[in-house]
Amino acid sequence: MEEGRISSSQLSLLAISYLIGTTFLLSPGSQAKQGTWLTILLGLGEALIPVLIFTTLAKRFAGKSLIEINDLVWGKIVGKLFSLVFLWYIFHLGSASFAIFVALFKTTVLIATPEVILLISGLLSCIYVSKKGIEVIARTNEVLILITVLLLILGFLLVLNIFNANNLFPVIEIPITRLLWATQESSSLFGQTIVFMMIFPYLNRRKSCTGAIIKGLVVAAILLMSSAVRTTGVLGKISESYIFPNYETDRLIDIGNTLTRLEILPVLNFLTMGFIKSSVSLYVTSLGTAQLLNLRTYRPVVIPLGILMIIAATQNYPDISSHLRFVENIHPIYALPVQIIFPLITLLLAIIRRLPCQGENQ
Amino acid sequence: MIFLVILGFGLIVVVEVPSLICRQYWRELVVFSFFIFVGLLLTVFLTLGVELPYIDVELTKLITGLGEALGLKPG
Repeated sequence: MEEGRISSSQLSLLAISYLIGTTFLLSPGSQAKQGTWLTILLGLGEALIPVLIFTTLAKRFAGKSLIEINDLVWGKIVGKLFSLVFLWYIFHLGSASFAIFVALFKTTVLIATPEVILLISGLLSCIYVSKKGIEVIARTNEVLILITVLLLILGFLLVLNIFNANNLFPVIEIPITRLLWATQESSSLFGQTIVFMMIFPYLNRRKSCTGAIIKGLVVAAILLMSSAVRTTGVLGKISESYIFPNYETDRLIDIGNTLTRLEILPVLNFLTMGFIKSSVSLYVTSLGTAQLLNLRTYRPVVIPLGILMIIAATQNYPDISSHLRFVENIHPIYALPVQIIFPLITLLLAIIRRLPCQGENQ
Repeated sequence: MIFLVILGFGLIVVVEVPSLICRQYWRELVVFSFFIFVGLLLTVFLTLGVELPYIDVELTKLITGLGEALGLKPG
């Protein structure tokens, strides 16, 4: 079904792009105000639990994707039901990524362009790379992430003259329950790496999946933390009230009245990383659907699922602020079954049933 | 507008379907046709201005409903 192979370093880079894809713009855990960076750090620690669970499962069933593992452990009916929930979750992540892409462009740089033109142009490139396979996505990402990281570093250096370290204090100004909830929010965003359960079989060294994902998580967390520190340091307490705080931060860049209005930097970063997130989501949804329905190839379903993904993007939320509320209040619970509960009970059942049997594993 | 939508979907079918028939990928053809039909139907609805439910709103209702059924109150 997929002939391509990727290395563990390519997987780490994909994990970084997938995590910072939309979260870089929306800033996870921002309800913690100055403590946003702390919630990202705590969220990273918490996210290690689901990551260790699903990578243990992947190593136990080396060479099998989550859809195949569900079928083996739970049988055809229950297994397919679990797989369907997983595929819906990834499909929803992809559509949300498209929706945020439209929201950003419609409110910032391409105000007069019709929504449908933005969606179709974004979808065409995602369909192209998804049809080419995981190897092409991973290699494209190697170039794009280099540009993104360089732009992030540049963005950090350019705001040093307006950065006020006092804005970062007091670190914890909110009640501990709210801090814990913000941590859970960050953790559920890191837990999105469960999408790579469909990609682990195409790693050239399958046993290295845990290390690769953890490396990706740590680097993504460092990038998100530095971004949170930057926006809080520049915007202060009001950073929470902006929908795209990174965009507002870069808008304030002013180096000797010469280098100004560099808000295109976060837009470029989102364009590259959002593209990778949408492409990986579309690829995984198509591959998973093909495995779920016992198809010989996933390529024929890429275009129809891509179309459904952009239709879902238009019907994701009535306005961007309601999506932010969804990410803050609902996503941590919504993601729980897919990220922790299903993989954990699948792993436990596999241990109890002593699966995989000899010969079932590659 | 409806004409453009049907033309667009028709183009996709013309590009994708012949290769599936040539390779005798019948199962793939059925799945492709199903998803394309759903996509076309939803696009026509949206073009005609039919109001479809929002995913985040429906999920929020579902999850808060489940929480209330379990006796949990939103914080």
